[in-house]
Amino acid sequence: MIGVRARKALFVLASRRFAVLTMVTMAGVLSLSALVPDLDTLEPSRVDDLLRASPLLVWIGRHLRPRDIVGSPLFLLLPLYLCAGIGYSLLQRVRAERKRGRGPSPGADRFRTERRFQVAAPFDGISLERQLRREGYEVISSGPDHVDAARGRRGFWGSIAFHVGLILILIGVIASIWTRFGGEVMLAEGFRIPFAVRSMFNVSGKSRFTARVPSEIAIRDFTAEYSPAGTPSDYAVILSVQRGGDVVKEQQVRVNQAFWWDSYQITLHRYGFAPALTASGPDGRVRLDGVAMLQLLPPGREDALRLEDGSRIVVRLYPDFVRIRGEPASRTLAPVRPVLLFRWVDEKGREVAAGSVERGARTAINGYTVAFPSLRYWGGFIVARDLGLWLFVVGSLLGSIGLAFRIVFPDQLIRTSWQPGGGAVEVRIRAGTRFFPALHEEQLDRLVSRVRMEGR
Amino acid sequence: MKPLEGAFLWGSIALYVATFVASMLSSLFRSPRARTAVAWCWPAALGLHLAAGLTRWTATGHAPVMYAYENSLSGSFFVGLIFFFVARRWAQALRALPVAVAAVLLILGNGLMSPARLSPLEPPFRSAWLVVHVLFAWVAFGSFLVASVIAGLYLRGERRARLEGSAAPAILDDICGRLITLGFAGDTVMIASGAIWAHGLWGRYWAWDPVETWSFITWLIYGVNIHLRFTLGWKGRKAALLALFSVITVVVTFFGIGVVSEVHTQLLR
Ligand code: HEM
Repeated sequence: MIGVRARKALFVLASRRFAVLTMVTMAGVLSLSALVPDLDTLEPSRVDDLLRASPLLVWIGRHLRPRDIVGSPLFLLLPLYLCAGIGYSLLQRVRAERKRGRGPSPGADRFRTERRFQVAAPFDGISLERQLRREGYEVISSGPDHVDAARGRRGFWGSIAFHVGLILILIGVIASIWTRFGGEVMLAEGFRIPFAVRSMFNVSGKSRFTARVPSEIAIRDFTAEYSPAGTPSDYAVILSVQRGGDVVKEQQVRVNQAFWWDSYQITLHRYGFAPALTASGPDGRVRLDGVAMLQLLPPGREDALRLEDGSRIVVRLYPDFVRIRGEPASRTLAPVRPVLLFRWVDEKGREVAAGSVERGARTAINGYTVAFPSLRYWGGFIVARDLGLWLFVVGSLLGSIGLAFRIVFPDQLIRTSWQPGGGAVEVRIRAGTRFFPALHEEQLDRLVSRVRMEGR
Repeated sequence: MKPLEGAFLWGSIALYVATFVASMLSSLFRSPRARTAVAWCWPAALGLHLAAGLTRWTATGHAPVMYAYENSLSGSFFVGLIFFFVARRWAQALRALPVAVAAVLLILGNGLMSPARLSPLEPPFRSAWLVVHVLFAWVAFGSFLVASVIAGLYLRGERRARLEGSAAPAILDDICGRLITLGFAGDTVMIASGAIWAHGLWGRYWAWDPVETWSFITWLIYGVNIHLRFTLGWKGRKAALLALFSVITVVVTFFGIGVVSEVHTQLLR
């Protein structure tokens, strides 16, 4: 009894109708959620306004975020079901295919059509066979009075490959949800940091980050190219992995050209200026000696460097310094004439010194000295490891190639027979197709006219 | 925009408008002169459209794939080109020419509302995946859009056939199905290549941002179209109506995401 019920349930689950229903449900829920942008990106006051205007939208925005929906166990059931359904249907189809052996696909004569025409005798069917082979048909049987041919076997395997690809993609996506690790590191030229979670921020995914061998990463020789308008056109840096000070792997990294280490992908994501700075107070004691990592955009963006004694130096870097109507500005983003504007604010919040310092110079104001000996770059790198990626890539490739085969080799069947008449031969073609019957009629007409041309 | 590109672009727009008018006259009055005008203006419009794209390509040093203007320039070209091939092969489709040309003009017009400044290829775009991704995106976009135009034509023909008691234009139904299959294949490659590219750039291949979510919705919806047509036997009116509605997801994916947010901010005013 249970066996029958289970089989019935399986039948429903593996039915194409249920698959379609699942796909429609997924699309429906996702489009509902995608209609409302992420509320996290809106200011709270605007969310309040929205709440007043349309509470439903806010509810959707809060509870149906695509990210959360697809991560929810209920939604995960859908791809899992699709996997199982596709897998079951694949098994059945492959079994049926093996049973049919050399014969045509059972669906190939879903839409049937027929043609009769005459060609001049003698007609031996060789030209017809040639035409059919040229169009990708496989001859199933041929004799002095008939040729039977079918095509679509490769299409069948294409369809199987496509659905196997889909399964791999679905498993890949689920694997990514469970295994993906991501984090960011920021590195200034000339510095080394441990290649470990503690050096990272924006870490996502349960921290399974365990580099097999302890190592450090460093960058050197950052190069940035700028367009004539002064915007960055390309940037690259040499990234190295070191162990005990020895370089184990070194490679140039740029956007779109990642560095792979220990199954982690390291990508250059952003960069900025890293001015070397030293600062000392009126007592001559050095309060700061290091490299600040400043954001590139917009030039002149304010950043604060906190000092040990509770005071801070607020800096603004202009890579290509000019004054426009007395106001500091940067002509371009290229470090042509880097100038640092600074304000030294003591622990009580009072400004004790303010001035500017050019690269290679030092400036002393009220006894406070700031030196800017050199300008380096820093790079922001995304570190990621995702076991699902590979399943996704292989599945995508298989799926795309399979689909192409399915399209190029449709399931079609042709049975031809002929009988000599008085001075002419009457040829009869019975053909069948699985898809596109009207287009198939056209194809058949073309085939007939070609055979008649040759028979002339 | 360089003057030469502008000349080609506006030349092509003028010729598209001429094609639109001539094709309307041709179908309304069955005028042979109008038909001749279509035969000249239409390929010429496409030729100038291509020339505008190539001129821009030479000026910027990269294929026109960056920002709204360039995307409209190439996207509309693919719509025009795919429809051109379809109508050359199946004359029955030619009756939808005014609609196809209007779609091309609308997409171009939408692009012209954004700045058309020449800018070099930004670092993230410098990838071999760009070519695969964008090419297949336009194949998918063009195929889906033309499929919906053909679906509309089918519905009109089917209605007339029902009233007259004649046969429905089955060939249009098949052409629509074929285009959907082609579009789905293009969409699959577009999404897969985009995802792989994204992993190289951002360390993740899918993040459910609006563009990704809508691309996935489109892909699912066309998967549904294909299943209903080919495994559950939908054809004719039902299938054509579905194709017509499905194109909404394409429009939202390619042009509407900003508009959806816009509608949302409108609510805040
Ligand atoms: C439980 C889930 C699924 C089942 C049981 C299933 C089953 C099938 C079957 C039996 C066919 C007909 C193949 C043929 O006769 O040659 C087919 C075709 C197709 N399916 Fe699915 N499918 C499922 C999910 C999906 C999904 C999620 C997609 C993608 C959106 C998809 C896309 C396609 C496409 C594009 C075709 C036409 C090309 C071909 O024949 O392979 N399927 N499916």
